Amino acid sequence: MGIINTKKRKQNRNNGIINNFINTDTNLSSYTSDDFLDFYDAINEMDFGDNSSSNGSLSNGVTDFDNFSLNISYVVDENNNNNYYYNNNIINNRKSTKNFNINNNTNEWKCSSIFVTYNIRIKKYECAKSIGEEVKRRISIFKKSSLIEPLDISQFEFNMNSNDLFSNLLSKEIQSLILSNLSIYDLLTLFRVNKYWYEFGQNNSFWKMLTLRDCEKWNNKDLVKLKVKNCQPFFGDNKENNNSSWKDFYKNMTRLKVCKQCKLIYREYSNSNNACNYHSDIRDLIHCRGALPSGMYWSCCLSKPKNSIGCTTKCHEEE
Amino acid sequence: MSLVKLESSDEKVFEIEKEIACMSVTIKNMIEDIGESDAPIPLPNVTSTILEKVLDYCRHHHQHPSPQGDEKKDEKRLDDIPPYDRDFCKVDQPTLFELILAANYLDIKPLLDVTCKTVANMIRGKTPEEIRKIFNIKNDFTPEEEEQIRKENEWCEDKGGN
Repeated sequence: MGIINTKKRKQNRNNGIINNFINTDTNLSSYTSDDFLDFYDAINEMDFGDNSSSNGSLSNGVTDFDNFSLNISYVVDENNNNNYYYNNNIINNRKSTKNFNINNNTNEWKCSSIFVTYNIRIKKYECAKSIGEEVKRRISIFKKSSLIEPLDISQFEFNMNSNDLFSNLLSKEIQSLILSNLSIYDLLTLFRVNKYWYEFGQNNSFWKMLTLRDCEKWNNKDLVKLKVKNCQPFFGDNKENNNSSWKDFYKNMTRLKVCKQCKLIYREYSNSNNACNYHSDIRDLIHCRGALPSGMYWSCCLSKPKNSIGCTTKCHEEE
Repeated sequence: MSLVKLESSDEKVFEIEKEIACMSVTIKNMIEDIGESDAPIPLPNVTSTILEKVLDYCRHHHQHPSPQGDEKKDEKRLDDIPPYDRDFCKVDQPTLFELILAANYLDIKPLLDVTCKTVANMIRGKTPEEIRKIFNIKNDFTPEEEEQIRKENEWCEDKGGN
């Protein structure tokens, strides 16, 4: 069995390995399981124009398997002369069907390895899809929760147990020292315990301290520290935001956002001026131009793959 | 080594090496202010039981100084407590809070850190109801208020979403 060397494989891929594989009379017996995997990869990377990721912006880089399956069949005749048949049916614009059918036991291991990868890819896709849905759900929850007015703490009458030493005995200074050891999840739980702790959770300077503590782990900590120093719990020069609190600032820094340009999920604390890669122009049909064959290209950078990394960098912006 | 005398709020006098007593910044400042003297230093905010425990802690850490290089590492891990300190903090809640107050008053930073971490560990990973139980906290919210707060806090992705 011939093994195609890596260089040839790479070349094949560049020339459109799919076309070579499907439209020529290549004897498949010369391919090894590695080549099948490679072929599989090539399909995965194949450019389906608008078909493949029209709805999958959150599943970046993963082929949309809902609309895509693979069909290659091969038959072994009596003379031990292997003939392989394969087809590549494009049902309609959005769907193409391909399947591996295995009729030969001796060669099963090759193909089963393909199926293994196939299943893994599908799981990966499902995972990416469910993450996307989860993020959307959380963003909508955030929007809902930010509309809810906080309780009016000036109307509170505290009514505490005398044996509640944690709230009664310690001063607020020591209490915030204890709380500085807790993560944001535990803090929010504690602030739901009773009115005293709820009021504690509305304390602006406590959130300022928390921002200072947590920004050590953030990418843009220098900027955040500058904001803390100048008492500006907001980004940009927007004067309307002047009355926003450190709690809102902390929320905005840590919650999930989806970038309107590159559709990636990000958090404000990992944002920077070169975080977002996107294409500034549309994908368009470009006719043969010098060394460039005709086809669909990003008209900004003349890059061919639909999911190629964007040519323009910017900071992420929320929709 | 010279000894100093410390007097607790219930008028018990403890004698201890000056070097150990000076782990407390408050006592150190007092000694510097009044100079060498035989008169016991009054500590009106600390009872004898608590002062005894605090002195035990100081003695142990005087004999086993913690390596300097580890300090930065400890800051990263929020719940990291050395074994002796963990055992030291295995006391009932009133004693633990008394210890925090004493550490704060006597200004012994490592003791204050370790006791605060112990209390934080009691809160970590608990539900509001569990926290109330641990600290005898009375829930003074109406059910409506409670629901509103739960929704208000939903922005933070909760593991269980309780």
